[in-house]
Amino acid sequence: MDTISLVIPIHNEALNLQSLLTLIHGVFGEKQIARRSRTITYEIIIVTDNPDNQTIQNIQTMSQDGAIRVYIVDGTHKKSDLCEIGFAYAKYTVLAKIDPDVQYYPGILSIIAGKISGKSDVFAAFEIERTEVLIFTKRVWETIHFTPLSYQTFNMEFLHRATEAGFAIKQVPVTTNQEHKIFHFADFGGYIYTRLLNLFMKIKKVHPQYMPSVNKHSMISAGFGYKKQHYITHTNLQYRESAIESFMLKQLLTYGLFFECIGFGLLLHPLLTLKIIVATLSIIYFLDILFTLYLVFKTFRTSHEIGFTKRELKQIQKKILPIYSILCPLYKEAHVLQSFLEGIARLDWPKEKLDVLLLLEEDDTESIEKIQCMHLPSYVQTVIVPQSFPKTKPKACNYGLAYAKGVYIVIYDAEDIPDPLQLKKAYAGFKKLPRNIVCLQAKLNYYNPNQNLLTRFFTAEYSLWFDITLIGLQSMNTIIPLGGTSNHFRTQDLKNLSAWDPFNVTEDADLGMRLFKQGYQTAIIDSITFEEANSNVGNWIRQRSRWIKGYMQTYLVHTRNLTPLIRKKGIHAFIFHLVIGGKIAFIFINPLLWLITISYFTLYSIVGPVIEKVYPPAILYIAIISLIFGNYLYLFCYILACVKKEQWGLIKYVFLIPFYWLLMSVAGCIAFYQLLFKPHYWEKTVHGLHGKTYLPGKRKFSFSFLPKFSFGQLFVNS
Amino acid sequence: MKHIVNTLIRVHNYYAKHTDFILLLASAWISIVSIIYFYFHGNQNLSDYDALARLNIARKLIDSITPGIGQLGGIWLPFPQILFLPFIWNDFLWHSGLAGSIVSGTSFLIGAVFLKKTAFLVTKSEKISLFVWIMFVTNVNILLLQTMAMSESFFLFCLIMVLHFLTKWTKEHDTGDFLLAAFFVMLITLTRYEGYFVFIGSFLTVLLESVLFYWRKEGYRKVEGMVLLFLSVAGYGIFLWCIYCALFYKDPLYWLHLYSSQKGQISSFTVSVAASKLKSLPLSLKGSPLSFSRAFTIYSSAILWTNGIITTLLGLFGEVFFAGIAIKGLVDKKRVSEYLPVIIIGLVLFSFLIYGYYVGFIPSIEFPSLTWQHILSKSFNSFSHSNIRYGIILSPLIFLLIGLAASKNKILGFLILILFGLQLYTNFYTPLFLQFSFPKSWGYSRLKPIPWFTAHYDGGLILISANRHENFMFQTGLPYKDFIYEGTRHYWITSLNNPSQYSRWVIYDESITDDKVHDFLTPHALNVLKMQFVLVFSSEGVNIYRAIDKNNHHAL
Repeated sequence: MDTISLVIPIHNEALNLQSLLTLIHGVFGEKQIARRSRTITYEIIIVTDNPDNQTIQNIQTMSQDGAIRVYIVDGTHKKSDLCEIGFAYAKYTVLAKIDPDVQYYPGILSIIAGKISGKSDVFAAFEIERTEVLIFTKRVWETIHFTPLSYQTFNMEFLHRATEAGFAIKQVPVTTNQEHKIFHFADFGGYIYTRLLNLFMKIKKVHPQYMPSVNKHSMISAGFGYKKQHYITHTNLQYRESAIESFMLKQLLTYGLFFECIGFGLLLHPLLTLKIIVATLSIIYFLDILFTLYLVFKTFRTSHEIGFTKRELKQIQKKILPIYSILCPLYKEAHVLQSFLEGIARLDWPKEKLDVLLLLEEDDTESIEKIQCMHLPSYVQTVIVPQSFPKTKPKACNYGLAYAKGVYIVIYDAEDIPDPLQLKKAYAGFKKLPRNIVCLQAKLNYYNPNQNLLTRFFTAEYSLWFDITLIGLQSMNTIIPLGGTSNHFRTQDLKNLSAWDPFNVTEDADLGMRLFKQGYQTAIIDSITFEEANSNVGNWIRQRSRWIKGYMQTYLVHTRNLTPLIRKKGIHAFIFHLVIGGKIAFIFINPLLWLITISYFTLYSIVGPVIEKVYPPAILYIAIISLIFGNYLYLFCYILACVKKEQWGLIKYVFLIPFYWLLMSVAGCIAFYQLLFKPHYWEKTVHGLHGKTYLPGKRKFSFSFLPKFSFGQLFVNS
Repeated sequence: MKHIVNTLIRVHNYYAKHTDFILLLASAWISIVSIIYFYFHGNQNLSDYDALARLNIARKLIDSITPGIGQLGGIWLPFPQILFLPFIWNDFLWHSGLAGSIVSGTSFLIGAVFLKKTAFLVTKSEKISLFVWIMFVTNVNILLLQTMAMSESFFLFCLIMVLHFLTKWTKEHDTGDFLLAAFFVMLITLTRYEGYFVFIGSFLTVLLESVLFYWRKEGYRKVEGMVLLFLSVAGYGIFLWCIYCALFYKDPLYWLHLYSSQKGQISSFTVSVAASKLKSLPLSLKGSPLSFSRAFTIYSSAILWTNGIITTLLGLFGEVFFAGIAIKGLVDKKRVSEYLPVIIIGLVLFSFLIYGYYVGFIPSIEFPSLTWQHILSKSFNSFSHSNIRYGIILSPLIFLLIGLAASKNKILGFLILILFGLQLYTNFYTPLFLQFSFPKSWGYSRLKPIPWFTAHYDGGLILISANRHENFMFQTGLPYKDFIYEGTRHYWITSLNNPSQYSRWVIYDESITDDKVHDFLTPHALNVLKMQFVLVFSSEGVNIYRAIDKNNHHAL
């Protein structure tokens, strides 16, 4: 059965209304039903304000009709407001907006009636260039929901926004009774005005428009309409908190102004400008060194990671344990699933209270088929994520979240091997920690550190990140950018946080920041998940470029509104700039500074005097301290991390880590390019390159010294 | 009586509970009293030329026509001078030498407490460790050095810290102690070149202990990791110094080349007041030793004189006694790891100091030869080259070895106590010369030209060789930015060719060698000096020229 809510906003137009209603009843009423194969249930919603006596009288008469509902709004309102109220009261999923001041031929409404259950989201019945009637699904209105410039431009703006939101629009030509029609823009001035308005709307940027989910109790099918396309994100995260738009206008203007100033400075006062740039950079580097020192000091002074005694874990009664959901997004990774399932099987958690969801992409038929052939344990189920854009891991996770039955939830990658006690530790952690800690991050490390030089660097870096940096950040009760996997949440908390941003390619870091901004915190638990270290240079660069791009997105998203962040979070806003913004900036600036340093020593006669001029004495000292002491400190932090993780064999490779930094800069350039041209593109990391199934306790050995590299790997689009 | 006993018990209990704090206060008291005494006793805290030079280097960093890190120079390791920086800006602290006393004194008192703690770690005896502390704080030479702006006090402090944390690490294998030990090795390598030998000794200790303790348990990777961890911290000081030399002298091993060629032995120019008398006295050595055994004899004698003959012999006894215990321990397969730092660092430091002396890295040491005639006459105490102080470097190790020997047997301990008491007593009340006393040998006096110069100086830059006239510059009381000296780069080079370009005064001493103004003034500069300057002062080789004023051509 088809349904439609016809919304009629009126301003004392009782006369017109009467004939319109007659017409509507004529088209949709019982007499017509017999002539059609299907029934159309309709309602007429009349919304008015400040009605005159005649209108009131008419309305009273109309109210006796069961299909008509009349709403009288207090005060004076624009007609567009009345429309909005009418749409809000509409019961049915298809809405039509009808103007009472237009005398319709019955044909127009018949067309509407005939198209209700069509595939298009919006039907616009137009005559010449003017849209007379709009018929659309309620979801369209909920998505594009807007305040028009004037009621006269409502239809035009509606169609523009609906088009931008990616809704399918069908325009149907109709004929109205021209004799009785009231033209508001019949004069030339009106025509010009309309044209200009049209042009203005085309130029004016329409931000992503939030599409609510179909089911109000779930986030499934929620998304955005943006740039004439639907993006299904399965989250109710608003666009201002999402990386769907990389740069906001304000940011573009700020950055533009900044670089313009530098450009003008270089043109007008090159030496002074260079001095200022050098001084600023040197001071930032110096601050970062101080901050790193402080971080290391905090980490080692008192360890803030959440530890558990064996006894504590043993005392947890199995029968009181709740259901724990595990999300495992997979994309063309079925070959590594076996070891993941083995790892999950080893988890010390009652299997009947385990809810493992393998999230498979609809287009990954290969994996779907392979998994269907596998004999999965009863606690593992597959969830096929419907094909939609963006095609990212966080979107799959958001979809999976809707199906999660657990009180707690954790996300693991397919190649992960979690600590068997990790779920218990997380559970105990949630029980003993304050309620504002909504996320527990387990530490990540690699099970193939000795595969080649790259995996050694990578492992040392991970040890530094999870065992020193994050612990230090935690001890400062500040922002913790989450690691890609092994973050544990209370399911409801995660939903309240709107889960992950599918447009951010490091959705974990973004979520960490978002939860901190909302007054929550993350804690690091003393539990390790082993992953596979990337052993191929091309693959690594692609993975790293995604991470850097994600960090850039995170930085841009969370600096859209700097003032409230600074006001609310104080010093933590500065830490955010240093930890996220600073790290990104250094990736690009470092090679430049290394080049300057090397050329200073090797090409002194050519560049030496210029460099000396650019560095005033005080800044030179700061720069030298940063160069000599700073670089040493960073290297030493890697060593300390290896020591902390007892990865003694890696220490000697740390001295070569500047080459790894260089690789990061290469990845950074790719990331920047992608941020501009492919911001939401998810560089998939190929897993399973170590070629061995990891078995805990088995002796690990070195495969080779140097990693494999092929340029082709850089461009693999998996 | 009961009341007294109770009070004593309470005092004892309080001491037992707050030993470190009480000893810190006691050390501080001794340090302050010494500083006051030596300061008011003819400014003995300034009695070594090196102390003045170090204070001046620190001052030049902030007070020079070309201030900056380049003023640290390439001869001495820089850390002590950097430590003076927070105090040197103050004119009083600079000219009184207290800027150095604060640093050296603080090093002394912390070092004393940690020496006691180290002694406790190896002897496990509270009394013996207290005895070791007493030996340290009653050594008159250490007491004078801790009032001076010298590097020795801070070096001793670092050495004690290295011994302490390495010993603690060998006992408990805590990475924190290990890193602290490495950190102090790093500091010591930035303090004195002898620190490089401490670095070698510490490295060998770490290597040996890692092999003994970790190899079987955790494999070679841990040994390799521990060694690299140690080197990455401890070796950073040497790396930094090489970088500094590369930046300023275009040669990362500048310091090595300088010392191997003996060009930069500033200490060899350290002529004390007594030095002129040395020429006529029966000293054990003048010039570099020719054989290894001679170097051994000379350096051993320096140790004997500076630490006290009885004390040093007791230390030697301790070494022999303790080596026996260690060997027995190894034979019986007992763990003797906690002794490794003292043994290895002690042996390496001693051996390398002799080697360094033998190859000429260490300037010549001149002191009374060790004969009965000298022992029986205290008058010899007055004569020595200040380099005799190198003997004091091994003092913490000697005291620890004595403590170790004393801890093994009560009677032996008592005997050692008596002998040490004798050493202490003879230093003050008998005519026996059992310990060379720096305070009795060294003195500080104003240079002859200083009163004249300070009375007549009326502004303008002064061209002078800091290499030979640090003392003169210091005693003028003028800020350093009034001087053009070797470290002022462009000003110095220009002035050697044309003194009138920047200078109003030119000072040199033609009676001594290596006065670089005298040696390097070009013929053109000499002509300028003749035409545009007037010799206004000349005495005992010191010539002071002043530029002729354009408006007033008469000389002073």
